[in-house]
Order: sequence, then C-alpha cells, then structure tokens
Amino acid sequence: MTPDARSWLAHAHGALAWAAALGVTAALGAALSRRAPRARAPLAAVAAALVSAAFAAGLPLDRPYRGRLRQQVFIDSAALGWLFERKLHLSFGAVALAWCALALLAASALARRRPAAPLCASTTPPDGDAARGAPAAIPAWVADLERGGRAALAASAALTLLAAIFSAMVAYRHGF
Amino acid sequence: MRVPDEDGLPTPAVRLLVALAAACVAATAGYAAVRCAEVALFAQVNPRAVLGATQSPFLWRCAIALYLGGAGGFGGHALVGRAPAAAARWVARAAIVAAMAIAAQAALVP
Repeated sequence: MTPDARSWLAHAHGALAWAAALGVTAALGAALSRRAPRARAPLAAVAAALVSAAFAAGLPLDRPYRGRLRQQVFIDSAALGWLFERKLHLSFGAVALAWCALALLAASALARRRPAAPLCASTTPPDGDAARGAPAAIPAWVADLERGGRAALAASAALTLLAAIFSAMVAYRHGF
Repeated sequence: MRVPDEDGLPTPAVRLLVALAAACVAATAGYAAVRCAEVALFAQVNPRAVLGATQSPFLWRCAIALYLGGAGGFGGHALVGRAPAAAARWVARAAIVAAMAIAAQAALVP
C-alpha cells in the first residue's frame, strides 16, 4: 500500500468511525422513542452498516499500524499506545453489539406484525403506530427482544463513541 | 416473511434472528475471554522493544471470537426453538453482560 493510499484510508476510516458513532446514537434515539416504531429496525440496519464499514476500513490499516506506527506510539507514550489497543477491543464489541441490536429489533418487528396468543401469562401493551390495527397486547417475549435490542444498541453506541474518541486522540499525535 | 405462528411460537425467520443475536453476544464475550486468556497464559512482549509481528493478534482474536460466536448462535437457535420466552429474556440479559465484559476487559486487560 502506498503512503498516499494509507493516509487516504486512515482518513476515510476516521470519518466513517464518527459517522458510525452518529448513526448508532440516532438509531438508539429512535429505539428509545415511542414514535415511529417501524423505523427502529431500518435505522438499526443503517447503524450496523456504518459501524461495519468503519471496522472494515480499519482492517487493512492493522498491518501498517503494527509494522510502522505501534512501536513509535508506545515509545512516545505508553498510555497513548494502550489507549489505541483498548480502542481495538472496543471496536470489535461495537460491531458485534450493533449486529446483535439489529437482529433483536428486526426479530421484534417481525413478531409484532401479528402477535398471536402469548407464550407467557404476562403481556405488555403495544405503543405507537404498531398498535393501530393490531391486537391489544403483545407477548412478553417480544417485548424482551425489543428491550434487549435497545440495550445492545446503547452498549454499541457507547463503545463506538469511545473508540472514535480514542482513535482521534492517537491520530492527533501520530498519523500514517 | 412469515409472521408468528397461530400458537404464538416464533417463525423460522425470528428464530434465525435471535440465533444471530446470540452469536453476536457470544462473540463479544468470547473476544473478552480470549484476550484475558492470552494475557494470563502467554508472556506479553514489551511493545516499545518489539516491532509488530507478521501475524496480527487482533485479527486472530476476532477470528476465534467469531468461531465462538458461531457456537453461541447454534445454542441460541436451539434454545429459541424450545423456549422462546427464556431465549428472548436471556439473550437480552447476555447482551448487557457481554457489553460490560468487553468494556471491563478493555479497561483492565488492554
């Protein structure tokens, strides 16, 4: 990889990381809002795609980072070097949990289309647009799926934001 | 895609999605566990003294975590087919635990 291509890819990776942080936060806002429940899964899909794109853009940079940059970063500041190592771990968690959130929200949206006889005795009332024309209650397990999706999205948003901040702190001092 | 069956059991599409969620949760927890095992079982070189190795430890950890996630996905699929309510409840809880596990691992075992 030429130095120009490496630099371009590093900038694209950084821009995608911040776009992913914004996207996941927006998807979390939609998931927490009671309005437009049908938009939750599509927004989670966009967020998962952005986080995955940011992660994929960083993969080709791993080899040049280890070969050219890592030692210099650690010699300059061990704290900064470990910060970047932490960012790698957080980025994996962010991607996996974004996909987890998408899967749970999509499963919940599918199950909400026509909730049938509940598996459990306890049910929760539907909210927003999903309630229109639907039966009065949804199975508790569907509500659990949605709760899990929201939790995974919140975790992914936090990890994505932290990873983007850590990357920016290291990139401020060291670049390709 | 089909909607839930008449008896309230999840459709195959819903089961697959819950299995995917379980796989992602298992991969996240697996990644944290693999990194902890790596630090506990193998000597860590000083990053100031050594230039990067040919193979990427990060990519290997990701690959192993994805393998573990695949196993978790099969487990999740089996569970949601038998007890959807329990599967939904436990996947939701496990997502929170996995997020806390990888955050703790990143903070304590970078």
